[in-house]
Amino acid sequence: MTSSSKGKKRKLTEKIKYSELEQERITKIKELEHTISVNKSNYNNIVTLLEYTKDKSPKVIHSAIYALYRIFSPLLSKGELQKPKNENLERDKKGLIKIWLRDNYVQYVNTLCNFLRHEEPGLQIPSLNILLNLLKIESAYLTSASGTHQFSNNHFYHIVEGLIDNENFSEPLKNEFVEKYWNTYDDLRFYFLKNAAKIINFLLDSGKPKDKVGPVSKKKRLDEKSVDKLNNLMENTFSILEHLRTMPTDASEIDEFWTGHPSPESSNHQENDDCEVDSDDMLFDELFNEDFEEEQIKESQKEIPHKKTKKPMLLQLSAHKRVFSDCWLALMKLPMTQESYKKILLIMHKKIIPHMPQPTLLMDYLTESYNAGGVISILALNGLFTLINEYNLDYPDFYKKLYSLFDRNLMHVKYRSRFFRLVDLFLASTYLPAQLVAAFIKRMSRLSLTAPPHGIVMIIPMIYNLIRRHPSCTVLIHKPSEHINELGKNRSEINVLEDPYNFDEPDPMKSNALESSLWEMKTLQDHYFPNVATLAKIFQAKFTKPSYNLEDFFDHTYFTLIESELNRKSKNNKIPALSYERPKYIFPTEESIELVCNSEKLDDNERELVYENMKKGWEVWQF
Amino acid sequence: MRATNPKSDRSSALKRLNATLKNNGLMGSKSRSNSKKQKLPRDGGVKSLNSLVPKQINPFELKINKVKHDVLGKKIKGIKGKPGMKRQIGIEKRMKTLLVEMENKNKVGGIVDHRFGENNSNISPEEKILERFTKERQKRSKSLFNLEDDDDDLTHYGQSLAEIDDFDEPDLALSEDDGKGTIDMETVSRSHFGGFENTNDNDVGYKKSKNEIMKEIIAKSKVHKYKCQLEKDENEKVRQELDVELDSIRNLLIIPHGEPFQESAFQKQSDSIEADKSDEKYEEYDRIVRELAFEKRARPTNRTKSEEEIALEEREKLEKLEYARKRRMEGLSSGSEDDNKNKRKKQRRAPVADDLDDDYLTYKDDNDDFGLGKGITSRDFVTIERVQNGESDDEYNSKSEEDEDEENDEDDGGNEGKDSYIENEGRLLEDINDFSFREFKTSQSKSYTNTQATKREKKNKEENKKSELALAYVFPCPSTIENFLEILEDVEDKDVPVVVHRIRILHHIKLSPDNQGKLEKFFNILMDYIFIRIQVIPCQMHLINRLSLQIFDLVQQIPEYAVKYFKGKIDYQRNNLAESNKFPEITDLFLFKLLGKIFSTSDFHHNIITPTLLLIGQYLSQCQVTNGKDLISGLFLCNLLYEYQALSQRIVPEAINFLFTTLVYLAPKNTFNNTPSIPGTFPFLNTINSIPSILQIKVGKNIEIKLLKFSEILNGNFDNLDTDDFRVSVLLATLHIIELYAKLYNSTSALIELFDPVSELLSRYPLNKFEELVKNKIETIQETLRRLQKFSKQNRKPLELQSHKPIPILTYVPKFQENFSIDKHYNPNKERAKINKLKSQYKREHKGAIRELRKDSQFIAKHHIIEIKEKDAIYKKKINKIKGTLENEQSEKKAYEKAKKWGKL
Repeated sequence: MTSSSKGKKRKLTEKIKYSELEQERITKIKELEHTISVNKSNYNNIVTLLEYTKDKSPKVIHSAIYALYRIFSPLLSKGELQKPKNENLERDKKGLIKIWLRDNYVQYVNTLCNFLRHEEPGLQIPSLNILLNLLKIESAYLTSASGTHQFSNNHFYHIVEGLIDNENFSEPLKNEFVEKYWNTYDDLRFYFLKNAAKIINFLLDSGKPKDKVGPVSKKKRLDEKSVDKLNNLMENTFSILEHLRTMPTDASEIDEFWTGHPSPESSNHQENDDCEVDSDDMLFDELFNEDFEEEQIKESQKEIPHKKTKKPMLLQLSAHKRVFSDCWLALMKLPMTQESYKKILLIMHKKIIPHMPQPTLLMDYLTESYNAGGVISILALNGLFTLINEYNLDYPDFYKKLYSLFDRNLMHVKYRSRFFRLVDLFLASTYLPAQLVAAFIKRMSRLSLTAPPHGIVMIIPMIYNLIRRHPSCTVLIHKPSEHINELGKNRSEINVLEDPYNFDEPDPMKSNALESSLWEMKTLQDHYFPNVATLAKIFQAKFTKPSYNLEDFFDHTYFTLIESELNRKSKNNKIPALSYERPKYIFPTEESIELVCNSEKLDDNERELVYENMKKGWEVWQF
Repeated sequence: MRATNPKSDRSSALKRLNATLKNNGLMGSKSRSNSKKQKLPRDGGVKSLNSLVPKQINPFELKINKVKHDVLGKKIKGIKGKPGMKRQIGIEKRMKTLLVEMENKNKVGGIVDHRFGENNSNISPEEKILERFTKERQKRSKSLFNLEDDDDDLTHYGQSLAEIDDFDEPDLALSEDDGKGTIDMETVSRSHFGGFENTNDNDVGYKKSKNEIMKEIIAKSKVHKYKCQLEKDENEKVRQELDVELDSIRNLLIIPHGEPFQESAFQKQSDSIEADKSDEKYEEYDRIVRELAFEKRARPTNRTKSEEEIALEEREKLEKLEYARKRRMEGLSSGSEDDNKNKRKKQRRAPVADDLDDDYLTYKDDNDDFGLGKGITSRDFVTIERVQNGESDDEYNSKSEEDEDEENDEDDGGNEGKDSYIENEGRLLEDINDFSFREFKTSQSKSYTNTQATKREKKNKEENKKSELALAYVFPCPSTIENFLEILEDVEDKDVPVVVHRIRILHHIKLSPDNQGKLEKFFNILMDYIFIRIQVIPCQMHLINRLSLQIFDLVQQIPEYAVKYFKGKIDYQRNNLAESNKFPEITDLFLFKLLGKIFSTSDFHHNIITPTLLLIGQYLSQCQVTNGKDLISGLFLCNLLYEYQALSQRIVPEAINFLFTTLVYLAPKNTFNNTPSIPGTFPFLNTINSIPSILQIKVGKNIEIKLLKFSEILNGNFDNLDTDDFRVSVLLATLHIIELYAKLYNSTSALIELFDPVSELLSRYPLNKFEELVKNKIETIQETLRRLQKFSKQNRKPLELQSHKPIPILTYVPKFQENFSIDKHYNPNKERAKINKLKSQYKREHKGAIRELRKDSQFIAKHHIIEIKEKDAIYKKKINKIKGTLENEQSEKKAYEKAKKWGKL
């Protein structure tokens, strides 16, 4: 901020004047702050200070909000902003002042929340810091007032809203929040997750009250503006959630609190902890959107069943997990871009599922993703596998679906090695029917015909391992002619002519792969990349190796392959073989051919021949 | 023996003797014996008695070794020993040999009986005597009538004087060096009578005076001297002739390692022969003769060959090269026969699936069974990023050319030391990498065009003057591109290759060690120059061709550097490609084409070509086609890959994928709307709707089909790419290349699967929209493919890859070794066992020999003592005798004296 103002200074004298004015205003702010701190009668200056927060200069705003923070924080801790409890006392002067102060305070908080959406990260970060400090003070006051641990969630709700429903959610702000607060303090994380879920659900309901279908289908039906808003919401929430590193896995890990440690002994009083918090939140209720009221009530009603637990909410691992799960589920309902979708699916099995109390809730989401096709399906496979493997999810026609994932683009997408790792796992069982395995083998081999070298390199050892595991699939590479004769002559003749395998058949069991042969592998023995060619020859050798370690063959790309080729040293530092004939030309141009013809003194017929010979392969070009 | 006859052991020796005698019937009562025994002759009985007695060995003389773990029926050597007998035998042997030798010691001579028939036992004594007698008689009769044959001949030093001829003795001949006419002392002392008069004996009849004799001698010696002189002269003459001839012969001889000093020395020799004949010269001559004798003989050269032979040789050479190429294509080491042998040796080991190509070092890690490298590691990501950052760094790119030049200049001092050399090397590679074509386009080509412009101006001015001016023959080797451009300033385009050729020849590596560095730099410059020229519009392809040939020659001159350079280029482009997915520029395409021409593309593995293939593959599969230029670039790469694989016929899926994708791109809009998906299994990441419409053919009729103008399109000078003329031309070109590929791969087993998509794609094409020509082309292609696929189908059989004999089930029976034994001498290796056996044999013999020698010396000592004792005894006897006589004498004397005394008394 200072740098930007300095930059302005340099440019024009106007700006200099402006900065002088700025300076003046800043000194003014300081004076005002001083007067307020000296004498209570100068409270009216708060209004002026609030005016200053609407200034154009970020510097002024900065000093103003800090000044106000310094004014409000003692008031807050003294309880001067407490809503008077008696209606009768409304006329009381003190009460009036309190109400007036509260109004101003609320206005101040709102301003700060708006600053979170400011374009200037230099304002966003101080605002965030101030807001969270105020939260701390407020909570401390509430705790001391009620005797039990309190968290001023209503205040925090606004902060969260300011953060995630934000068009200018900047990288520094995110880092500040995530690194300094969110990943460190358990209570902040807890309430953030809770509030974020609430906000998302609220916005979703308000935008599309009836829509309860998955994220993809929803996208189109929303109008432009709300789509933008939801997109922002999703992006921001996701970018914060993505960086979650300190999700507790044990109750003892919940020990860092921003607003003081809730004592577990006070559990007797805590019975209606939530209620109390909510009722305390009512303090500020009227100040905000009225819709929240209902929301709050609903929330409180929802949470009543949990009241009877002994420990306070914040200390329960299950509660943390629950809010986590709620937040993610809410997030997944949002429409999302392809990129975020991929990212979510990528971290699904490692970062999300382990922390969910009921991972099966993700079932619908994953199934839908799995059915989406393409890259998304490949990525969803991992999460789905975790569910099947660890949470007993029953997925009908799993292999059929898996089979359909082997499509034309599979070998070319970025996540192929991840996919093949899983495929290897799925096909590891020796109890799978040979027909099915053969179908997979044949399909992979067919795809390898159009695959890049690093893809083929993955496929061949995998096929080898599969054949090794399912010896009945050996017919794919070795079908002696007697075998055919056994099947009957008529049939064999047909078999010889046509490849019995049907690539377009979606059901692997019906694809007739066992009748076929891996001609593709035979062809790949002549692949241009020597390593692939050598690898393809393993089918011709004796099957002596028990299995290949597939990890060695994943994770290659053109980049790495070329690199290893370039770094490869030949024996004796031999110079690579040159072409043994001195070429007569590089590009077969008319002149060059003419020159060659002249040098060899050919007659017309021969010349014609030479001409054709040289042009061979390049007939369509003119150089 | 104990076991077999225990009784005999216990009984006494005498009893046993009795028993045996009885058994043999030699003792005991005769009345008991039957008549048979009486028949035994008496002397026979005595004989058998003698033979029987020693056979009975006294058991006390037997030495028996106790056997542990006795096995019945097993014969073991050395259990029983007869030390006494052995000793006795030994002593007897020595008595016969050693003792005899000892006794004969220090005794020389003896009498050899040479009388007739003395040792011949076949002749009876009578005959002997008779024969001797006749011999005696003959001897006598001979000497009776022969006067001459006198036995009493005079001798001198044991030689008959009559046989000595004065001048025949070789040492009497005059030595060559005394040509002064005097008789040396030796001759005088020999022939001038050291003590006796020869002549007296010779001429018995008449006496010559001393004067006469002297004269005779002098005359004789003169004659002799004259003869010697003559002989010497003749020799000299022959030698001179030889010397003269030798020169000419020497000229004829082709001495491969002609040492100049020899020649000159020889020359000197031949010159000096006439003038001076000092001994030194002769020594030198001798030395040269010796040298010549040891010198390698000139080998016969091949005769000049006839034309057919040359042609044949050429053919053989080509065949050999082709053979080597084929071997490389199969992935074997390029083929001399030695290699083959080695190969065979190596292949004795059963081939394992993960055998690597032999040419290359195998990596130790297990990960790298197929030489794939390590794949992506997390570090790679970092480096890739870094590379990208580094490249996008503005400062890095905006490095001015002067800086580069400076660097180049610094590179000049590459000979300073190894460290700096390595540094330079690294920097050189960096240079190559830094070197971006963008820079070139902007700065270099600008400078080029400037110089070009000035050149043209100058040319116009001076054209008339210069036209006759011949091209210079000597050029300096340029160290920077500006330098080179300066040199070329006055050179016409068509002469540029000549200039390059001359620079190349003038700075041939063999001429000076510095030239290596110069040529390396020149190589860089030349490549850069070509890169500039190829971007010039209009491009002079012919010039590029000719310059590229110079590059080819340069590569042969400095292959190591060229390989490094090309690797650097490939690496640079690989990094570029990681940054942005753009199709290659014309310079890159040229580079790929050049590599294909310079190196052998059919090799199974090639240090340059393999990475290039991968790089091209990456271009084809990862770059997005956005306009016609990309399409042309891609098609060119496909065509290039076809050329690369024309001989080896390897599969390049990327090229085929690209061609098919191009067919989809070019298809008129809505071609694939009716089908659920695009046919084929080639990757198609886009949806049909996202195909750039600039590529889709709109109107297929009224079209002029053109050839694809390579340089013009790729240099961006061809702006009417958005026409249907262009698109249809591209379509036809694509079809043409597909046809080429189909014919190339027509023997592969998966041809049907490979080219299935083409016919399906083309069948979707709305043929009516196209002109007749295009329609025909499409139909013929389809027909060709159908035909090829039909053949392929007919020939295709289910695979039988595992037809080798079945793998035996593992056995768990331990491996038995024949003749295994547990003792320490056992060795399964036959060779070693043999050696060990010999060793132990030697040791045994050695010990035995030592023992024998020891026994010998003992025996000798014993006999010495015996001798000494004998001597002593004789001496004692003698002394005693003497004593006796003396005592006798004494006693006699005493007796006499006594008697005398008594007598007196």
